[in-house]
Amino acid sequence: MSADSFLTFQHTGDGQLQVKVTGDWVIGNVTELKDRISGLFGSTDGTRKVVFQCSGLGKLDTSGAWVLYQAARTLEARGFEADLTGFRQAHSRFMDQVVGDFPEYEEAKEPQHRSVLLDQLENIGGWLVYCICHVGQAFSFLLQLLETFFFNLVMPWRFRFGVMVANMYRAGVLAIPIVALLAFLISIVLAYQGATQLARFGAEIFTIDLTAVTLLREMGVMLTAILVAGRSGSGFAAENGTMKLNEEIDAMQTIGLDPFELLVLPRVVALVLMMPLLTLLADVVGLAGGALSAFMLLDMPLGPYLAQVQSAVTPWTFWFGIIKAPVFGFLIATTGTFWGMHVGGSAESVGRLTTVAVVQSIAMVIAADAVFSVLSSSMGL
Amino acid sequence: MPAFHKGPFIQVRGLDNRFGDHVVHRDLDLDIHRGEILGLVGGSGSGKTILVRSILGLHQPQGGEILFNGHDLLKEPPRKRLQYQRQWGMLFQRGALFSGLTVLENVELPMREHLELSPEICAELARLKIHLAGLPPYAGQQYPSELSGGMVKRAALARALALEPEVLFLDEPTSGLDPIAANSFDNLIQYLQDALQLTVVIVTHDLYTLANVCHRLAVIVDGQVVAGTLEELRQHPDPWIRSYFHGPRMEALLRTV
Repeated sequence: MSADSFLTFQHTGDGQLQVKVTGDWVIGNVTELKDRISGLFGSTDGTRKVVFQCSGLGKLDTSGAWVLYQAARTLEARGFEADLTGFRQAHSRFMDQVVGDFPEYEEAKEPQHRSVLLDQLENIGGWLVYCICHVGQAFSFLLQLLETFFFNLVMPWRFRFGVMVANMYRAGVLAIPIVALLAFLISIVLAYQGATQLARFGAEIFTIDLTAVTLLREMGVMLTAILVAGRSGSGFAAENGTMKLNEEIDAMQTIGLDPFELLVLPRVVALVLMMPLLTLLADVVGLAGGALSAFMLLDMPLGPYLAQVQSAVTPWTFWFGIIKAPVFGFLIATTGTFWGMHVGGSAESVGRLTTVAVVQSIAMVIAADAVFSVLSSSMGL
Repeated sequence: MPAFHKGPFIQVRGLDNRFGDHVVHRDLDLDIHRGEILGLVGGSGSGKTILVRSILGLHQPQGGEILFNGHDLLKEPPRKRLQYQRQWGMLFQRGALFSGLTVLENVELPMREHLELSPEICAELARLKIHLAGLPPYAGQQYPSELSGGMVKRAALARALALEPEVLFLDEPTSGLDPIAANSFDNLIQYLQDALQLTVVIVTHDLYTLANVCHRLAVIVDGQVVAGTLEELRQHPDPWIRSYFHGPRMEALLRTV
């Protein structure tokens, strides 16, 4: 008898089917065991009673015991008599204790089928409710922030100056190298693209106008905002989220500290202050990159380059970029801290909401930029 | 399956663990016998968890041997080592359930990874394990974050049982549970050990578990193991062991039992 035959059966005359159970009934063999069992089910013609003779059983674990037990129960459900006999003591205890009281699994009842239309309506409704709740939460968050702000304005000694400075350092000073590098590179990209296109009209000189205006009005501040959102907006969300999960925010409240005063307001103020400075840096370094491109593309030395820039750019071009910076900083900081404070449940949600915070803050920055563009054009600036 | 090996099931020989100048284990020996429930005890920072992690291969010791059924795990190639360790289950202190998966999926995962089973059989076996761990059937559909502390431990136990292990390591199984839940978890461990003929290693500070569930105790003192039954250890001259097994809590417990 081979060790992997598991079941050998023969009909005896009196309507009985004798089944010899052999081999190792363990989890690694379960698929094969199931096959053998269904083979057995196929050859029960003319039988009333199936007797499993288990004295030759090798190893048995819970999975194997379950397969065997289930086979007997299935046979009973089909109107046969089924008997499991001849277990060694250890095995019979196994059968009784482990699988004997395993309840029949009932498929969870499908909810009554409704029309697809109704399901869709329910989806839309749920989504609308979620949106309304979300907007409500956002407004409540902003109002709380505003309240804390005025509270701190009236009582300035309560303002967390240290936290703000620490955040200015982390979000601002430490961002200098990456902001400078990317501003430099992006102005070179702009100049090379512009020069190739404008050369067709023989207007290479306007490459400088193009680079300078785009950089000062849009690219400088936008680039800074995207980098800050990636560096600090995500950081705010992850830090506050971890603190929330760790019950640190609850702990603050129980010892009478206001989490908005400690975790939200200083960060928002820090970004509002640092964004214009970082934008200024991006502008300056970007113009330097423009100068290098002008020298390489147009053989134009620094003096004429600066003169050309001055003729292309009005003070408003510059201020227009700078004015947007604190607004973007505010959007990034509030989005980051907002999602951080709304972490709940598991550690997984910290990661998810951090991603949401970054994507949403960049989206809001671009949306705000669009509003600025429309406004400025309608004001004729 | 490796052939039956006479002598201790798992042997730790001359284990050395150091972190910089800080010596955790110094020439540590430990025997774990087949079919016993061994309680592992030691002060905070005495290296209980490091010992378990070394046996499980989660921590590489500076020296020594870990023998499982006579094979030195530290000298086996990693693949071979995994083969042996598949016969072990571990219950981590805080469950370590995968938070993105339901309880049922958590229990199914090891089976799906290591065995070629159809999804239906997987689910059915996972439900059996969930039942064995004493959870109601609906718990299978829940996520770990929706479970109470006791249920998390039971779900983690169900996952540890998924591959039909012969050895079960439990890291502080009753810590953080209320007395009722802790008591029923103790009973569960005894029941499973008896029904499945498991070898169980429990890291615990729960004196009740030590006195009533464990067959033998191993105490880590000064980087080495002193092993014996509760009565033997109560006679031991070492001051730390004396204060541990003769403290007021232990005395009170033994008076009532």
